[in-house]
Amino acid sequence: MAQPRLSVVPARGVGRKDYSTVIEHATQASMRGHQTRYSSVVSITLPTVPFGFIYTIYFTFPGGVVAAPATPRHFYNVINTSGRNALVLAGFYRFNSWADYLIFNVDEWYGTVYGYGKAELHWTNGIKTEEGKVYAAGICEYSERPTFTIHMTSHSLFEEVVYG
Amino acid sequence: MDKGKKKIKVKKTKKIKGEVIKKVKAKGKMITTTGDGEIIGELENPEVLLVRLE
Repeated sequence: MAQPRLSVVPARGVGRKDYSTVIEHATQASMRGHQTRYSSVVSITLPTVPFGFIYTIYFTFPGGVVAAPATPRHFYNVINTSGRNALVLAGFYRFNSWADYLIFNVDEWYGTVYGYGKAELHWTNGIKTEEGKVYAAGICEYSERPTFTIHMTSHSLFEEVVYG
Repeated sequence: MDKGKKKIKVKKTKKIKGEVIKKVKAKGKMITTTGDGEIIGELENPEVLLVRLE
């Protein structure tokens, strides 16, 4: 049986053929994934502590809740920077509940890294959040000054499925 | 001795343990925004935990 021929799509140069409404109709998806990018940014001033101590800060989700929502979020990085050439810490932790967070009962430790002036954690495939769990980052700087200021940035993607 | 059998080493998950010393009121602001810049979460002077790692 002969294949029905679609309208001719003109091609100019090298690469993808030009737009055609016929092709768009033929390849229209019934379900699409949509991703929204989120950035969490904090600039925080804290008293200095000796090495071996860390500060943890929790992430909030839409609505100001600390427990991760049913729709997963994918965390891709945690970047801590300070203005000084001093040892900086970056960490990322998962807790089963808010009560576990308050006693630092870590469910999953995703990593702790140190660096001078800057410490960053990266996950190529992202860390998928699980519903009801609490996520927190570790932030600290070890210097001889009384206080320190840390700038933390974390990027994440929120995936939702759109039925078209 | 059976040379075909190989011992498989199981990598143990490294656990972190710590003890919470106190809650600290930090000076600063935590903001979560979407890619379009829309603010979806804001924390003024968030509470952070001071933890001693074991």
